[in-house]
Amino acid sequence: MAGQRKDRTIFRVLLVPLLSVLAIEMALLIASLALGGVMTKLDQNARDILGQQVENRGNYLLNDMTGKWSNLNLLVDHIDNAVESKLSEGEMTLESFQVNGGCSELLEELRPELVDAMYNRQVSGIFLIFNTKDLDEMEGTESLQGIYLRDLDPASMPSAQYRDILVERAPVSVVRSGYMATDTGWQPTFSAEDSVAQAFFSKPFQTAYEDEEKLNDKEYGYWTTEFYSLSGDNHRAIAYSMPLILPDGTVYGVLGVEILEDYLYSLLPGGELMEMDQGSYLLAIAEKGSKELKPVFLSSATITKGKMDGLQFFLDGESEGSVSDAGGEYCGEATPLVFYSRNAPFDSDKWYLVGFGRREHLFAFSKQIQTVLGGSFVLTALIGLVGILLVSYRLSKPIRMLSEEVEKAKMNNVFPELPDTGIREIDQFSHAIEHLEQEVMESSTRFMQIISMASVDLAGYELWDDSDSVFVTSNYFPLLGVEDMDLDHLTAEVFLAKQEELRQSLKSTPAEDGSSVYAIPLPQGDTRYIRAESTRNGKRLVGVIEDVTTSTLEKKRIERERDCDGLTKLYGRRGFRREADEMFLRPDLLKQAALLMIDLDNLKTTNDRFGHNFGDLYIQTAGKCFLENTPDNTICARMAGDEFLVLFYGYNEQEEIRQDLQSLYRAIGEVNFVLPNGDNMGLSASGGVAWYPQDSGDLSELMKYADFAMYQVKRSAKGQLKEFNLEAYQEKMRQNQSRLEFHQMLENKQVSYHFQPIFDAGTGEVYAYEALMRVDLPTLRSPETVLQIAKEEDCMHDIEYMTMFCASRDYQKLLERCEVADHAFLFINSIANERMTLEEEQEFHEQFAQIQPKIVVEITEAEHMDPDMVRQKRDAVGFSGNFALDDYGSGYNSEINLLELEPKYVKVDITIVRDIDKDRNKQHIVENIVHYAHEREMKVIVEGLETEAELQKSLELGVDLLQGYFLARPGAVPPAISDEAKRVIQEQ
Amino acid sequence: MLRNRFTLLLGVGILGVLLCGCGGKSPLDPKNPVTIRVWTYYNGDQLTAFDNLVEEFNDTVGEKEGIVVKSQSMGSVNDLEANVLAAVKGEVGAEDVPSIFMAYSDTAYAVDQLGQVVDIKGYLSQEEINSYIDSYIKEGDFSGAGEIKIFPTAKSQEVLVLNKTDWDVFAGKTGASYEDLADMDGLVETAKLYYEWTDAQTPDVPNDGKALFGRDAMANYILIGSMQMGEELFEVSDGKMTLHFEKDVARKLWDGYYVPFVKGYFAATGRFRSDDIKTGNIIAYVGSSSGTSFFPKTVNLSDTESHPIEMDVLPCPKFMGETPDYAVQQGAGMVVTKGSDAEVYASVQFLKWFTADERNIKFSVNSGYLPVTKTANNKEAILNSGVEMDDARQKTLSVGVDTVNGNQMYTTKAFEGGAAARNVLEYGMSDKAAADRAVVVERLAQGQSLDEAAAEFLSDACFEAWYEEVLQQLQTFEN
Repeated sequence: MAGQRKDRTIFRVLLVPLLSVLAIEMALLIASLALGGVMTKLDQNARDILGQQVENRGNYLLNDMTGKWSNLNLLVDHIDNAVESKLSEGEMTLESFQVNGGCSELLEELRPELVDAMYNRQVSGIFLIFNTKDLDEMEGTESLQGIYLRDLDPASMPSAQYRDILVERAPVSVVRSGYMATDTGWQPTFSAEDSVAQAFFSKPFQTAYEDEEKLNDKEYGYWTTEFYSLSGDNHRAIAYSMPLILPDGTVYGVLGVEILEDYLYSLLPGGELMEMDQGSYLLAIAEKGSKELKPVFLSSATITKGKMDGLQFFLDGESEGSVSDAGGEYCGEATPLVFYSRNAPFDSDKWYLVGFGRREHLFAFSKQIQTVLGGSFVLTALIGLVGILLVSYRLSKPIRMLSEEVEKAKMNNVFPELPDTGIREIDQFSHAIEHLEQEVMESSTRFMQIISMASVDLAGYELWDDSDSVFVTSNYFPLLGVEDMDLDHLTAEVFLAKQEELRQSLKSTPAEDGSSVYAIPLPQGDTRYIRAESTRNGKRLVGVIEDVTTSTLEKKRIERERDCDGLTKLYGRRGFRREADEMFLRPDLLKQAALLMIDLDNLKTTNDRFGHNFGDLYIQTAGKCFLENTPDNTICARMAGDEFLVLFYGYNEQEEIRQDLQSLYRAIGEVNFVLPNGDNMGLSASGGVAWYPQDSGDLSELMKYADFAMYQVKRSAKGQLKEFNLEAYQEKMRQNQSRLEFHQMLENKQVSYHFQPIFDAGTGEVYAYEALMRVDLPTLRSPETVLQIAKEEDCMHDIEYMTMFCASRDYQKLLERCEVADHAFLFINSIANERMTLEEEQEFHEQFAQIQPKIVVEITEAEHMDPDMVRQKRDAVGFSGNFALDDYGSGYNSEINLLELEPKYVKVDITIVRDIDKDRNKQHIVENIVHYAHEREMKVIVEGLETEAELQKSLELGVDLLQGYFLARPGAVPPAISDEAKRVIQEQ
Repeated sequence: MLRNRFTLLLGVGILGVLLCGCGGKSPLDPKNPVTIRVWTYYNGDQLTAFDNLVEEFNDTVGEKEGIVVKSQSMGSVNDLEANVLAAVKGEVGAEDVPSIFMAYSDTAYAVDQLGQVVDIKGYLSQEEINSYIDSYIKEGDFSGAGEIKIFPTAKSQEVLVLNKTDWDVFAGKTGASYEDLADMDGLVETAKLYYEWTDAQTPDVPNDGKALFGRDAMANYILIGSMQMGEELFEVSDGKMTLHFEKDVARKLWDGYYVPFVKGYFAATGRFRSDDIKTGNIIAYVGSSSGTSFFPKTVNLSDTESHPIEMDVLPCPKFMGETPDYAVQQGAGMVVTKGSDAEVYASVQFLKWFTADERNIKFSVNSGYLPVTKTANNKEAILNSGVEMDDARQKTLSVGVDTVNGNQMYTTKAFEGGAAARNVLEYGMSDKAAADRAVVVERLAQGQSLDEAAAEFLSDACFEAWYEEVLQQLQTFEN
């Protein structure tokens, strides 16, 4: 996956996306301009503005043409009137119009009106030409009467005294009158060239002349479509003229106004259309139905006449008002000038005012925007490009520099010195790397120094799964004892093969940390220990080997030392265990064996009396003695303090060992010390022997047995040797068990009480019950043992407490269940010299207040009965004070006890009761007891009655109360009296 | 290092882009030509000649440098003056102030007072300035500090123009000669002779003698006449005028025009004297050399009678006083108005081009003016210029050049009210003469003799009255 990514330079990484962004931006810009149609709209806008301007200017012009210039109605009327009046008064005839000088007076008369009209109409000239003849019939040489006046600056105010008027044509008399100056080309009359041949005269005149049905003279009004000049004059003008028609239809002349080219120029300032006077106005005519525009007048600052001649303009057929030239160089807008009435004679001339200019000027704004946008586009792209290159270059340069430096360093196998780039982050980065590199260098140097100082030989290798090369330190193979490896051409395959070969051939032991320690045999016979360890990290396998000879040897030495006892140089506990364990795995080597445990006697006193140094010497001597006086293969060990173990093995008979043991003990007996105080002292050691395989096949068990045997000696006569006795051991073990169970019993109150009824000798009724302890534990079964152990364990108080509480508890339950007689007394055995504490007494009283009055404390005769104790028992809270003296006659000082205790009941000991019927002495004792008791109001109880004879005798002897198997056995629920006993009692 | 080079390149690139818009010395751009508007009062041949030159300029230098000149004639000096002042003052309905307008010193001075005139001295080298005739250059130095506010383009003088055809007839019969026309006394004498000769042509009609002579510019007559008699009528210093109108000088001027006019020896009936020539009223007049172009080829005595005539040109008759060698310097100059740097620069470029010798000669020859540079104001230079000219033109220029070279050219310096003062001179004598002559003609028609009819007007009292009136009028312009 990662392999798909191409390895690219940082320059490209920066350049490509930046260039892409730039390209997208540029494309967006172009697209938005192209799709937005901004340029087209701007162009259309330019056209619209031009069209509006042309229309406005056209309206002005049309207004001038129709409203001002050609508005000659009043003047025409005036002239008509003047002519009519002259004709009617006979001052003139129609012929006068054709005669030279015939109209001078008329003209002189009309002169002020004409001048006024010229001024008022703001035209550059006005003319009046008389003629009544058909032009077609004229010979062409005749001159016509008339007047032609001109004002070169019609726009300005009229000058005083007609100063601005020039006379072009007028009779001499008019000139002589001195009102107006003549122009250079002044003539008194109009030659044919200036009248008949001119459209301004001929067109309206002849049209009206030939028209049979005379229209209003105004309808014959005609605008010349070409500029003309009068002969002898340079001024070019267009003219509007109309025929003069008398009411009778006689056409007698033409009245007209002229507009000079210059004047028209000032009225149509083409420059206004576009900036820098680049626009032009064109006054043109299109023939009806034609699209071609015939130029009449051009107002342009930029287009010369010569150039204009080469241009041909057409009305755009599709969009109204649009005009363009044939070459496509110019375009513009046209507005029609309509001043002829519909179907008037000259209506076929369609006049247009055209505003136009070069396309690039008309569309200069959009072009300028295009240029600016284009320029800024190119500039943006260029700056962007340069910027991107620059930024990419500048950003990548330091990184490339660093990379080159690293490459160079790699070639030279040195650490690169990274130059400053001037970019803080990169510099920080490279400084960090340098720093790191330095630290790595330093730490590796330090490490190497430490390693070399530590004189540890270390070697290693590195392998990659996907590479055939292998890195191996030069000392790797030498360390492994291989001297002839060619490291320069070592391949992974060869290396691994060699590894495997070494692993097979070399002896290795696994170490606890998972590595292996190989033993390399050296030529001198020594061994070099090499610890080898390898780690796999993905595809990388790294291995390290380490010369651990010194540490291995050291370890071995330490191990050895640890196994031995420093004082005696015998095995220590650990060493013994290791050696012996090894041995016990091999019964064939052990054969008949014996384990002797020895404990030095008197070490403690020796230590106490003579100090530890002497104690140590004592031990040392003992150890030495044991070592010297046993066979070589015997394992002697000092276990701890003064304890030693000696393992004899490899014998065939027990007897052989016994002989060796005896010889050992003899030797022990012979050892003699001189004590620091000068006395002599022998070595004394108690010993226990356990036999293999007779006593046990297990070392630990043997050690226990030997120990047991040894302790038996220790407890009896020290300095002896004793063999292990299994029975003794087991008894000991059992006792130990009973004790354990005793404590367990105490702890858990694992004791129950059976009750044996005591009957009234007179009635055979139940008089009382004796609570008898019952223990049911594996080794502890008899109450006697319990008491014995209690005595041994000093737990008599616990027994006393337990007996009192538990017996009372059980009895109370029986009482509650009505399984005992309500009136009966309860005899509880109490230990003579024990009593409950006051708190316990209080507790007992609270718990058993109900039965407490019925309780009789039965005390067994003991060696010594403490009178205080008896008194305290008697005083116990809630106690009835009834004592029974048990086993009377069996113990010591029975009489004293009797006196002390002052019991209510005396129990005759069972040994006296046994066979009483046959022994006269016993009968006598009982007689005495009964006698003694009855005197003191004590009741005598015989217990242990087992036969009818014994019962009968007892009855005869006059005892008060009876107890024994013959009457009733004890039970958890006491049974009733046996029938036989009942019969015996009833028969007496 | 590479980085620095990059920066440098970038910097140069940006600088280049920034500087692209700025150009060389000329403020003109051939692609976006500057249009300058020139107002003249030319008409007739002068206008044609001027327009031709403008066209030539536009097609050549103008196109190359980016100047388009549009000329517009206002028809007359007065119209021009009125339009210029209206434009400069920004009156309602006035047109934009033109870049260049033609003006006499009075108008130029008035416009200058409104702060619209450019001192073009800064646009001309000293060498260029020196190439123009000194008095022409000085005319535009209103402050006397050497400024040039009127650019001389063409100058005219006054000459005596003659209907040679009819003169020759008269001279042949009476023995009159051109020499008789050299001074004022001779002129008046000859005029008397001509009147009497023509009166004698029709013995049955009494007092129908014709006038020989007429004048167009009365002010010139009075101003130059004064100078020739040693007195500067309007002495101007710092725009202030001091009047020197002595009675004896005035009397001589009176006798030199009013008296022969009342008697009918001189005349003025048409609008201009050239009109009188055209209708055969007079056969000689003193007028501007530029006006000779209006000299007709034929004389129309009536609507039907006409005959061709030839023209001859003579120097102006002089008063043979203390300093007779004074001649009037006239013809408007070109005034450049304030505008953008490009417009002023373009205007001066055009004027320099226009007054280059060859072109100046061409224009002068075609319009009856004289060149304005020292080198061009030379007969040989004019003849060798290769410009085609008819006899009449050649004669006018020849006389004109001689006049310029043989006289001190004089024109009044501009002062406030100068034009009005000049009008007093223009009409003060001629109007009275025309009115009084009309009375005389009436009296003659009633049958009085010429002496009887004119006696009233030839008295001292008449002169005194007129003198006092004019003096009084002129004095109002002092200071």
